[in-house]
Amino acid sequence: MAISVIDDLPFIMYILMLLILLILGFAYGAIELLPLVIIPAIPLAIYVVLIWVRGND
Amino acid sequence: MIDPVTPMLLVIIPAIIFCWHLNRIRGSLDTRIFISIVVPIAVIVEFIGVSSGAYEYIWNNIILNSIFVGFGWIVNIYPNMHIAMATVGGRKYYETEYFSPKERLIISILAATFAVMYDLFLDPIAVHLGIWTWHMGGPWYGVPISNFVGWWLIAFSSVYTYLLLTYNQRKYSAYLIPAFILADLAFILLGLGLTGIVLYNR
Repeated sequence: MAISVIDDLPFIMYILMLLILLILGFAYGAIELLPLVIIPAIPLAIYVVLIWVRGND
Repeated sequence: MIDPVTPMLLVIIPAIIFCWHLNRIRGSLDTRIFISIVVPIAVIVEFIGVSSGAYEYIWNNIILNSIFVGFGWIVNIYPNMHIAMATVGGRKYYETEYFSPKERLIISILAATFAVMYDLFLDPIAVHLGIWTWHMGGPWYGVPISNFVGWWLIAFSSVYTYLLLTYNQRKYSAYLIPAFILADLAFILLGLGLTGIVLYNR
């Protein structure tokens, strides 16, 4: 299933927000905190599995 | 410490995009309801949090704090609510006009839990960057558990109230919306108060 800008915009923005936090954390020396990103990545994985892998429309 | 402009932009820009998205998929009434639920609750609860001395923001200014948390809570809640609603209602969840009470409850619990999972990463990073500072210590990289309880309560009651007012066959009078929001706020304050009592007596 293809990405839809309208349907998936909050999901895409969520990923961007996490990436920005990772970049800021890296730039300001919070290297030990970066692996914590795995926690908010879980809802994203759920979304990917349900929406794209299973095609839950 | 990060400069004060960056975190402000990092909440204002996504919040505007999320509001545009909600307006695009559900129309202006739903967008106004969402903003009128999330922003006042966030501003009041954060005002109480800052006044209590538990934490402070980089700006140390009530106006800038309110702008930040108002936009910030839109950013905290909207994508998590979207993922929760898509999990329950499918990708085109917004085309439905009704979620059953059970579905509303499940979506609200999921959205609140996802929001806390987001904060488990956000809060330690934000503290490291100096966007806010906790004066009371806590077990999660210096962040107290009561913070996450507060996040869950704010997200749960905001999402539940929004779903009750929008994805509902019964059309509520516009006069009832402030009443729902007040009830929502009372629920949060009660929850925070009880949490505070429990923590204080430990």
